[in-house]
Amino acid sequence: MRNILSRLHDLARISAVTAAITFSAAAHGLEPVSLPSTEAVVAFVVTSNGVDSPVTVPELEALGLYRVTTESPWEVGDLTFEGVLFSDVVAYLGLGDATALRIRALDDYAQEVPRDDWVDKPLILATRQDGEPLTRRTQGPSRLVYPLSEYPGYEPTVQDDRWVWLIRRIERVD
Amino acid sequence: MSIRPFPRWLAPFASAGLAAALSAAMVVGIYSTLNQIEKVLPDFGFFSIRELNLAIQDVSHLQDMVTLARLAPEQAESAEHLAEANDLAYVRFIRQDQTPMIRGYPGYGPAVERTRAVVDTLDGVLSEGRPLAVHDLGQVGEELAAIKAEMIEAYYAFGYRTNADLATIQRRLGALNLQTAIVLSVLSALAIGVAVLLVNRHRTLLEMRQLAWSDSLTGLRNRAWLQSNAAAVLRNAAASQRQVALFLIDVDRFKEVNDTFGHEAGDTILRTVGRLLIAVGERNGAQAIRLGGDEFAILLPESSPPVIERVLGELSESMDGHVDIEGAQVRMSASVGIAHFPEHGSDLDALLRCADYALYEAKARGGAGNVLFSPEIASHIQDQLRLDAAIRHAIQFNELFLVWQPQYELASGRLSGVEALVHWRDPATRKAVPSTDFIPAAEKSELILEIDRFVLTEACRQAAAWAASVPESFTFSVNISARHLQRPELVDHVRQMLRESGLEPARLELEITESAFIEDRQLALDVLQQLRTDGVRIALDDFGTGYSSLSYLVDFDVTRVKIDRSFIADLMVSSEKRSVVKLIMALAHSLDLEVIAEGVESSEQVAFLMQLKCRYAQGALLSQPLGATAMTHLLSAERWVTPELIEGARRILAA
Repeated sequence: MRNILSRLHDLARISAVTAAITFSAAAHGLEPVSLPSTEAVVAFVVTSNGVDSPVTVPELEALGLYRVTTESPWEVGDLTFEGVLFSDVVAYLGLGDATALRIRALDDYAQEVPRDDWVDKPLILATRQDGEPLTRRTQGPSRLVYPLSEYPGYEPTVQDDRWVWLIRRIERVD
Repeated sequence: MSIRPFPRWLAPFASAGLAAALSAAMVVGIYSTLNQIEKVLPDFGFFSIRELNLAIQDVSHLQDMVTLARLAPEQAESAEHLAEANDLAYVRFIRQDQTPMIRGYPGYGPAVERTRAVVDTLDGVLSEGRPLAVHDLGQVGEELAAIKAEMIEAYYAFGYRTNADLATIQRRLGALNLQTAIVLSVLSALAIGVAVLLVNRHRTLLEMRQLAWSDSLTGLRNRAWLQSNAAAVLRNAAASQRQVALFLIDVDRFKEVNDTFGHEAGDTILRTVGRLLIAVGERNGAQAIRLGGDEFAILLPESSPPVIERVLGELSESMDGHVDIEGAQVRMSASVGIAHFPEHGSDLDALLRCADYALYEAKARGGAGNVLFSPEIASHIQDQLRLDAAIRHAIQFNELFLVWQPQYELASGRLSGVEALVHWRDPATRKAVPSTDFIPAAEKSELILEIDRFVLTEACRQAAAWAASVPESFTFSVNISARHLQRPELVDHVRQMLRESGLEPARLELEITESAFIEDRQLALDVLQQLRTDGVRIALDDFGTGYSSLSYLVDFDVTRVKIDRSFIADLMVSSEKRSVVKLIMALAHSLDLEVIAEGVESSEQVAFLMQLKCRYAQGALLSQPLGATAMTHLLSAERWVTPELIEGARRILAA
């Protein structure tokens, strides 16, 4: 009896560590992909203290691309996107301590995304759709994708509004 | 015009029907209103307003960029801005067009096609490079202005309609609210009304039952109550192996009091009795009931001999006594008949019957007593009733007739008088039944009065017919029951008979049995006194066997004493009896009363009696009773025939 219990304990420990390591990678059906890099188009600018710093698509994609297939509240059918983990982007931009980020689109549509949405969650900043880089006309160069199919923890209605595309600027709220 | 009253029994059904109809109406109303609200709702959503807004914004922004490009067609910035705005328009109106949500917006449809056309045109303009075609831009600008106006109009119209819908919904909800409130109020009122009706009805039914079961005069339970509830009481008793006692209580001579003092006095007595019985009932866990008239009952559900004793004790204590009516002290008492369940009967009818028999017996014994039922009582009463019926029949159909017993003067041996005896000719057997066989039974009831009356009437008539053939001293004796002495109307009847027949009063002798109990001495005295005043003779029959012989002799002013046959029969063998007879003779002589001996059967008896100077005698062996015809012959005969026994006595005395 004692033996079984100690073995169960060992298993649990190992799984936890593995999970921590592999979460960011393949948790929740996120599939890492490797694609040839594209033109150095500016995805968006990061504004801090009134200073706009442009961020390019290759910069973003270097953080690690993942493929995700999901439904969208704004479009019909299952859509396949390739993009980077938003939490990786936040870390790269040095905004990891922000409580929320304001994401503004080209037509001035803006949404405040709370850190709950990206911390330990598979929120994706998509740069390609079906392998093709996103352009302005395809709601790019980057757009926020909530993988609803993979992560039922996301609340519809609230998150629906946060599918910002045609992203122009990211800045911290606080 | 006559108004048909709404039948009360219909009220609950009508209410229920109305309630159902109202509920149905309410449900239909709510359903239809909610339906309408539902139809309006898809158009009412924040998202749709926002999307429309954003669409107008994009068109407006594109229009602005077109204007800017027109003003500076060769600037790279103008083209860049224009391209950007065009792309936005593309995304919204062409790429996003697949969303059904957006397609559903009113007024949006035509705008989509026109904007698409604009986007295509601008694509063309931009692809041609700088400087941008100002003329084309101008046209596009106008077109965009028109699109925007149309969209704004649609937007406002949509807003108005949504507002109107909201207002309608608000109104409808308000009306629905009101309707629901009214309907619910009405339903509540109906429900309460029905509940009240039902409760009231229940209570009224209970009250009616109580009323139906209570006696209005005394407040006691009535016969109906007994009929309805006795079965349950008996059932319970049977289940728990208990006895139930039924007391039937009858106020003695209530009718007389009622007649004498009036109905109010009678009612007072009944009420008093009722109160007393209620008290007795409460003390003993029994139910007091008034069955009707002066008949009451007590139903004792858990009876046992000691309880019965107690109840009887309480009854006699409270019911026997004097009541003050109009200053007069009237003696009141009650007779009680008791029957048991299950001993005397297994249902109410049987119990009532048995208690009734017992009550009848208590009454027959004189009243103011209680009798417990027994089968003997039942058979006894049944026999009595049968006999009563037979006698009644006999009287009605003239089956009674008189025979005459001769009485002799011993000294002379001649006929001195006759005693009338009533016989009954049984039509079945055609045999004559002597009085001894039915008079005692008749004396127990009022029938004896009828017989007496018949005998009196017939005897007077017959005596008057014979009067001419007999000496003045000849007497005709008629038996009168002691019961009759309690009736003042006896005097009137006798007078009437004497008058009608023309018989001399002194020839009529009324015989009263001394052994009979006289309840009201004073009344009897009055009656006899009046008769004596008229000149009628009185004889004391069965002398020596009764109660207060001596006081009767004195008080009742009799004229003759008849020595009972029991003394005469043992005259020769019993010295005591001889002594008694001597005493009677001495007493009679000292009071100057005549004496006649009954039941004389031998010459020795006659000789003895003659020695004692007993003047008269009668007996079957002296002479049998004779019928009217035979007696007529005897009386009209020239010579009196001296009976053999008297001849024999003479011989004995001569020897």
